[in-house]
Amino acid sequence: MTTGDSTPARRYGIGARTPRREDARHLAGRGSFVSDVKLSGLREVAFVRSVVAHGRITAVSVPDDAEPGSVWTAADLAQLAEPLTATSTLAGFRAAPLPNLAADKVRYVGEPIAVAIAGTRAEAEDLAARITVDITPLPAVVGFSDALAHNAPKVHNDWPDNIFATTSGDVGDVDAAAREAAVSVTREYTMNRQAVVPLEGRGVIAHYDRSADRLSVWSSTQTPHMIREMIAILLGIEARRVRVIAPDMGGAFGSKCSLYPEEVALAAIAMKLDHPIRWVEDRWEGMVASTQARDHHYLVTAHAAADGTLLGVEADILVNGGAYSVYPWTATMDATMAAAMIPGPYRVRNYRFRTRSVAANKAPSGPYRGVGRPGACFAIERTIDELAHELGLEPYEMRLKNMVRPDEMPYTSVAGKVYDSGDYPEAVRQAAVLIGHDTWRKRQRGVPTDSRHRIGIGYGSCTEQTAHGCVEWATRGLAITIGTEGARLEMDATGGFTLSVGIKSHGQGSETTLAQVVSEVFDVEPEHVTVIHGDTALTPRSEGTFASRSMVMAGGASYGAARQLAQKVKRIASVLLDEPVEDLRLRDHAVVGRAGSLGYRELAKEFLFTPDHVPGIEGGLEATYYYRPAVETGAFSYATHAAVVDVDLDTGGVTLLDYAVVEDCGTVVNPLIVEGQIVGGVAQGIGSALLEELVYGDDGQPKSSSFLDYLLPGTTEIPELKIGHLRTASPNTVFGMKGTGESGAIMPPAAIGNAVTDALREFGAQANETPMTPQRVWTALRDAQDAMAPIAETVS
Amino acid sequence: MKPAAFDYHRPAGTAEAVRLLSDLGDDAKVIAGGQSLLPIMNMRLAEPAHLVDVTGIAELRQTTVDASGARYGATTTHMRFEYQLVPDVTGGLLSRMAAGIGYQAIRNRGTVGGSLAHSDPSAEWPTVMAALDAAVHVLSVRGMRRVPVRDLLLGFFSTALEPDELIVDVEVGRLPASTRWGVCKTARKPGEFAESLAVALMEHDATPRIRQPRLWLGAAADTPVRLAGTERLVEGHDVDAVTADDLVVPIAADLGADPGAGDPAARYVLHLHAVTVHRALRAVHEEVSDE
Ligand SMILES: Cc1cc2nc3c(=O)[nH]c(=O)nc-3n(C[C@H](O)[C@H](O)[C@H](O)COP(=O)(O)OP(=O)(O)OC[C@H]3O[C@@H](n4cnc5c(N)ncnc54)[C@H](O)[C@@H]3O)c2cc1C
Repeated sequence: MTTGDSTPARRYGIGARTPRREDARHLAGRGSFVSDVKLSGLREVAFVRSVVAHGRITAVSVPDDAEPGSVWTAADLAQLAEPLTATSTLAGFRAAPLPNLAADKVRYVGEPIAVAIAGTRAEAEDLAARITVDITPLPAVVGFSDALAHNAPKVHNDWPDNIFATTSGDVGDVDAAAREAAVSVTREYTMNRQAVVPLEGRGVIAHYDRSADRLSVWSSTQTPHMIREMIAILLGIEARRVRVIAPDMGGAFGSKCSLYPEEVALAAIAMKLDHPIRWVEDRWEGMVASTQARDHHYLVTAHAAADGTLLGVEADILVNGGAYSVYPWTATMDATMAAAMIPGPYRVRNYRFRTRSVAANKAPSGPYRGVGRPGACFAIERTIDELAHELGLEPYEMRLKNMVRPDEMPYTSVAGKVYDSGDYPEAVRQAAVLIGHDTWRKRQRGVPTDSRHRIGIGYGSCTEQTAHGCVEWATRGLAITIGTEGARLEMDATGGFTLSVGIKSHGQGSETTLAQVVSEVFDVEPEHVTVIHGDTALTPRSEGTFASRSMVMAGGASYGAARQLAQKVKRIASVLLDEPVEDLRLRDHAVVGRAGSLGYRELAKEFLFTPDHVPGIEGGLEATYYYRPAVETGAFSYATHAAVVDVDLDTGGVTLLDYAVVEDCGTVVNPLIVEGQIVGGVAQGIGSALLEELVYGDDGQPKSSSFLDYLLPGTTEIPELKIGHLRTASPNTVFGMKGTGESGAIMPPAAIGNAVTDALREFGAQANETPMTPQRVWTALRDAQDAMAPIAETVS
Repeated sequence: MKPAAFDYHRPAGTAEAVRLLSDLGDDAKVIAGGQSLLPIMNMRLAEPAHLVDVTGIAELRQTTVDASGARYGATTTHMRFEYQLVPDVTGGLLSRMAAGIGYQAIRNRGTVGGSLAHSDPSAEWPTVMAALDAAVHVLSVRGMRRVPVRDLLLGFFSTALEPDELIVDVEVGRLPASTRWGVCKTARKPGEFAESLAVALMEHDATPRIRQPRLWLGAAADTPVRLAGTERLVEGHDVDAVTADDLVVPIAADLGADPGAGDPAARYVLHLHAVTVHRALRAVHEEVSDE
């Protein structure tokens, strides 16, 4: 099954190491982002936002001298747009309509209250500063204990408590597993709240063109079609009157795939104005009012036999979803994913879980690279190490022993996920070799006991469901079940190709990889293929780019369209060359037969300029194809990460000494891009593990709303990664591709947490909370030492 | 995050600059590198009506050196210290401190005068200049005065400068050959502000003994703190015989903090200061044995 790095059959097709085409314009500064769009009469928007986490709005006062149409409040917007309500089919789910502008209550610092419009952003901020908002503060709900307390203040007054939804499951017989177990461990883990932080923040322009009766919305969004439809629905107009364009984007990582109040508000207001308006998120807004992520707590109990066999797992999962459910994902998205991923790549058959998605006075949570899995992976992988330690096993052996084996594929996990293909244990074995496990163990043992440093080695393994279809989203309660992608490919009269897809490449390099799919079929350089994406007027309906789905889904659609068009091209050539279709091949810009050949340029010209030269062939040189995979349980990527850390016992500082990744994303379309995705993902995972934390005060005030307090990983924090590949084609997808956009970000907290704990084993300290800041590591160490030597402590 | 409107002035000489500051009154602010002021203005925590940009004034970029020391023009950038494009009269201490400030882009624009006027206790210059007992020369329409840095820094973002006063240069005495220095900055990652910042000066003594230590700690209070009690405690000891843990109690006393604080954050902070001071002390020692 494992194929290694295959040599591509086509020079520029699947597997080619083609440099990203989009980089040329970005490196030359010629990209065009929302901020770059030039429209005549464009005016700029500043939002008035709540500075109180929880409170009742008693008054919003607009300055008397404000120009008409320059200030908009909830009262103005009420007739223009419905609030956004994400619903779910999960039993007991409580909806929390997300106001476009807050009306009676504010529920997080940063919540939009009013819109100020002026000629420049600075002037809009001047105007915004003159709009006064009176808020009577209410006690804020911040952490889990606040939210779940018996007499907790309520984020949503009409709810009985602060829980969006509870889910649970009990498969097999966990109690029997517990009785049978030689060892059981119970641990608590916390993954604190994070910001998503794309380089480019969000941005929206809205313009109603009266002559065309069309509302155009430019937005830095991963999901242009979804946004178009929702804006139309919330504004009460037909979607045909709405066009959404996502121009160049500087990343998103999930933070731009929910519909936002700012998008709806600008769209609604623009319908009433005769000039376009733009809002560009600044970094403060990005840190307080873009969707945030993680904020998970786990209580995990695992049971194992003396030989290391994992017998059963219990998990109680809490996710703090913030104040509202974002559309369409809802506040339960992380919890349902985390519950499904706790069993990991393991053969465990007894599993009991409960999840509670909790509301609090923080910005709404939304998707972020990895969705739920980084937390679940941290919890289960740390627990695997704890079991291994109790049993005296090398943690990687514990993994090898319990992982689903290649001969068991496809394997339905205890959580009902269908792992389609791969050799999970082999990834662990190769990661151990790549990191130099034995050498590091030797160096670790060689550290003198009086040294103030320790070395630790840790592993983290995970499977990642990618490109899942309708059935999967339905099981998680989503109101819209995602699972189809469209592509349209046309050959123009000069023999060039235009591929139109509704997904939005926002850093993934899809302009390159999707052109490679066309190259695979037609054998042309990607330069001859224009890839249009992210404009609803120019592309077939689409669901968008998220869930590591675009290569598989839009790639599948592009391949379908290319094959259909290829068939037609061959039929045309068959007439023109007078050779049977079966004898024709597509080679190097031409249809090649046994006797003759015909370049695409001549073929297209003949067919489009003089169709009468090609009798018997129906018109049109294009094909549209909608891809919906037959198996909708997804293609599972997987990987094992290995980390080696140095822990400074005096400061608690953690330094990465070495880092290895062995991954399998099936058939690789472009190795350069896959490696780029892994490196970027690991960097963000290192941020989760060691640096990034959105701290909120007891009053719900965000305390890390700039890069002064919110630390991101940079070149000094990210070691040179060693990357190894396995290549197991997925049986469920075109070419055997699996998604790989998120994978890198999932395992670093687990691998690094295990490495830090490994470094501190002799002291009995554990790294069970992210980010593993120097203070947390040092405190864990001191507390463990204090607990070990209570007598020595009192004597000195 | 766009600043409120302001008028921009770029005087060519110090006389013109202080005349402007005097005329414009409280509504005016000096801007040098802008690396502290501009972020504050973008967040509208400051909304000066006038900015007086002093980077066009040639004399503020000059350095004069004599046997007793140097006077560094106020707009000398961190980068010029870092790469010793100005003479370092402290045997490399100024260069070493400058190299630890922020990132290269910050060091290319940020200035020594701006940093002292800003008075952020976590910043490099306030602590090291206090340790060196440096002084600033300050000009206004009323004339020039000399203010020791130890008297200049009054608190978080607060100094003894009048609103219309301009720092013209920073006077740093030459470190005698017998004096050695060691520094340590503890930060979450390179480029961040210090969580703890220690400067240790002591007399050279071919042995690992600590002689006449002068210990200064930044990022610990609202101005840099001299650790007088800690100095007395370590005086005469072998540096190898002192541990970081030994320093926790005396440093707490010097800071007026409770060494038995139960709060984990406070406990860690105190410990980190002890580790940082300890490392600065050891850095002096290592420096000495290098020769
Ligand atoms: C990302 C980042 C990281 C940083 N990291 C560090 C760090 O690690 N360590 C560190 O020490 N600093 C750090 N800084 C701050 C940096 O060193 C600033 O350059 C410095 O604090 C201020 O110098 P400036 O010339 O930029 O002053 P400005 O920002 O121009 O002015 C700061 C203040 O000083 C006043 N002022 C300026 N010049 C004079 C003068 N000649 N006379 C009277 N008043 C004057 C201004 O009115 C203003 O109030 C960092 C800054 C940034 C943005």
